[in-house]
Amino acid sequence: MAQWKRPPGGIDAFKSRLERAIYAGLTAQANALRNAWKRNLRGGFTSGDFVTGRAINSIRIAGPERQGAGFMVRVGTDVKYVLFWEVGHLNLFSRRYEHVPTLAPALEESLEVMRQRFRAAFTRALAGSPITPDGDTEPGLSGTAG
Amino acid sequence: MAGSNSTVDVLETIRSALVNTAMPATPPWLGEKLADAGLLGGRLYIIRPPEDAVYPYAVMRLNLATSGTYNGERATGVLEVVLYDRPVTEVNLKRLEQMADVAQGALFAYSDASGGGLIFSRQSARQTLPPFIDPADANLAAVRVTFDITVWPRVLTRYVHP
Repeated sequence: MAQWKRPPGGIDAFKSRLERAIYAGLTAQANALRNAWKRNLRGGFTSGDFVTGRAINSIRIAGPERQGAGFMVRVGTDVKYVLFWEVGHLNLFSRRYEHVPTLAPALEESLEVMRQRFRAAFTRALAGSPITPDGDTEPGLSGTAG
Repeated sequence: MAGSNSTVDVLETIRSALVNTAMPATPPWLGEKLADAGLLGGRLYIIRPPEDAVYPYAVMRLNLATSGTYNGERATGVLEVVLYDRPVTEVNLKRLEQMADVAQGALFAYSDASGGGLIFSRQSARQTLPPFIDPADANLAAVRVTFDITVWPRVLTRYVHP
C-alpha cells in the first residue's frame, strides 16, 4: 500500500515552493508572449517608415502576483496608440478606418509555446532548481528551495 | 444562409443574432434591438466599415482555432464587436453603452444549431475604450465587447458526419 510521505521541509516549505513554481511558469509564459508581440511590432503598423521603437520598448510584464484564489501575470503597454491600432480607429493621417492588431495574433501564435514554457519552468522550479530572472530555471544547478 | 456550412455562414448567423435579437419588452428594458434606427440601424459590419460609414456603427471580427481535442471538429475563439460613435458627447457615450448592453444581451446564453453544426457563447466581457489621441481621431468614442465563441462548424464536421 502506498504511503503518504511528508515533503522535505514540511507542508509550508512545499507550499512556498509550489508558489515559486507557479510564478516561474507564469513569468516564462509572459516572456514568450512579450517576445511574440515585439516581433509583430517590429515592422510598424503601416509602411514601416515611421518606426521609432517606442511601441516595442514599451511592452512590459507586470507580476506575477496573487489575484483572489489564483495568480496573474500581465503583459501590456502604456502607449495608447498600440491599443488604437489593435481595436481599430479612424486615422487622422490616412483618413480611413485602420486596424492592425499585433497582440491578438501574438497570443494565438504563441499559445502552444506559452503552455510548453509554463510546464517546463513550473516543473523545474518545483523540483528545486534555482530560478533565473526571466522565469526559466537553471537545469545545470540543483538545490533546495527555501 | 443560417448555420455553419461555411465561415461566411457562421459570421452571418452571429451577425443576424446580434442585430435582430431584442431585449425584453418589460421595464426597465424597452424591447430594443441593434437593428433599431435609434441604435445601430443594423450598421454592424464584418471586419471593417465602408469608407462612408454613418455613425454610430460597429465592426465585428471573429478569430477561431481548432485544437487536437475533438479531432479538429470544434473551434473556439473570440468574437470582437467594437461600437463607434461621434462626436464625443454625453448622449452618444450613453447610447454606446446602451448598444453594448443590447449586444451582450443578444448573445447571452446564445446557441444556434440551424442548418447543421452548432454555434454557442457563454461568456462576454466589455471595455469602454479610453479617449482616442493621435494618430486616432479624438472625436470618436468606442466600446468594445468580446464574446467567447465555440463552433462545431458543419463545414468541418461534414467530412466526418455527412
